[in-house]
Amino acid sequence: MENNRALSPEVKSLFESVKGQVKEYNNSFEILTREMKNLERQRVSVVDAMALLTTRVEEKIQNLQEIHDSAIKELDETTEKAENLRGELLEVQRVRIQLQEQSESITKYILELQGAINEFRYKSDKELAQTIAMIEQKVEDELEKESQKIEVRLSMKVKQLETKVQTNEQRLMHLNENTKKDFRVMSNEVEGVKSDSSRLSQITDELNNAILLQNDELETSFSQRYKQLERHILTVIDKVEEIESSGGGGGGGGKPKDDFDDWGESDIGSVSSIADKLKGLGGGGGSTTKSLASSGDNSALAKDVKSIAQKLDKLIAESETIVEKATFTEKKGNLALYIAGGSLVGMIILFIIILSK
Amino acid sequence: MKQKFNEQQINRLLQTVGPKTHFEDFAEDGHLLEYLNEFLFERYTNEEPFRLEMFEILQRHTKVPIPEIEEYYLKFLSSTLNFFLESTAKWKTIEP
Repeated sequence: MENNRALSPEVKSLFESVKGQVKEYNNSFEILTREMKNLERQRVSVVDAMALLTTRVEEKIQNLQEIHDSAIKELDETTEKAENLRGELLEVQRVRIQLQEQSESITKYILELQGAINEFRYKSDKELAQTIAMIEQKVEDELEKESQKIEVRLSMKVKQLETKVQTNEQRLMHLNENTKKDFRVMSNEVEGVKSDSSRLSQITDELNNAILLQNDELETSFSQRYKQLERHILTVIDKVEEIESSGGGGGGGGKPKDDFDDWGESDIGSVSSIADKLKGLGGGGGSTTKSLASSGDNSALAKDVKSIAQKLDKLIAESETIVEKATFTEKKGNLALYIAGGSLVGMIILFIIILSK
Repeated sequence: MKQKFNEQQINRLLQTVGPKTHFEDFAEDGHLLEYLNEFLFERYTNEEPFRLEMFEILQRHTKVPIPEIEEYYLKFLSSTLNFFLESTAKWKTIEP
């Protein structure tokens, strides 16, 4: 600019002065920009703080809003409750007024009713006293009549019962006597049975002894007869052998009938005696008792046994009849006791009824 | 280290190194303004870059003050100061 010859010095001085002012302005602008930067930093910090404050304030506002809402809600609820209570209070007041009115009307009605009741009570007491007096009179009359009737009936019934009791007592006496007689008869019969049984035991002992003796005799006689029979059989066998040896040599093929025809009378008699002995041993009675009973020595014993058996049968039959009688008398005694007990209970019941009346 | 040049320096270098134009010859002789008003008046008046280029040549080669250049610079200074005043007008209204 200084070497520029196209401009006049005045213009150049002007530009120089403007240049100086520009420098001053530039300095001032630099200061301003610095201050602006400081202010900007401060503004940023303030904005941050403001944002922080805004968030805090928003949170606080939200909390306050929640508290406010809850408080409003509680307030609404309390208001509603208060409204309800107010309504109930009004209702109570209304009911109280109604109750007062009704109590006043009831007191009036009670006063009127009391007057009416007093009047009615006076009249009713009067009429009731009259009717009670009449009823008492009637009841006393009826009671006297009924008591007289009942006394008559009771006296009759008591007489009837006394007669029944007497008859029952007599029956009981008879029954006791009969039972005592029956017991006596039964005791006699039992004593007879006892004596018979002792006799029977003696007879059985004697019979046993006799049977033992007879048995011994039979054994001895049987052994003797057996020996005799054995001897006879041996003699018969010897005779048969003799007959066979005498007749058997020439006519060995002959018939036995023809041989028996040749027997003599002594041979036939000996064989028949052997047969009779064999029959006496094996047949006839079949048992020793029958043979004893059929033999002439044992007839008295058999008779005794039969008589004892017959007595035993009689005793058994009598004991059965005694037992039947005893059971019958026991039944009769029980029946008499039942009748006496029933009559006593009936009398007690009648007395109780009479006493209660 | 490479040296960086701005556009103005590059233009000066080109001017010193480049060939000499007839506009510079007229400017050295003091007849450039006459030549422009006589032959290139429309271009000189309408085309701003061309006029500025001519002003550059005139400033480099003239030996007397040129009122047109002074007017141009004063107008530019006036407009700049007006812009400055308009920009700083609101600051003046702010009270401390």
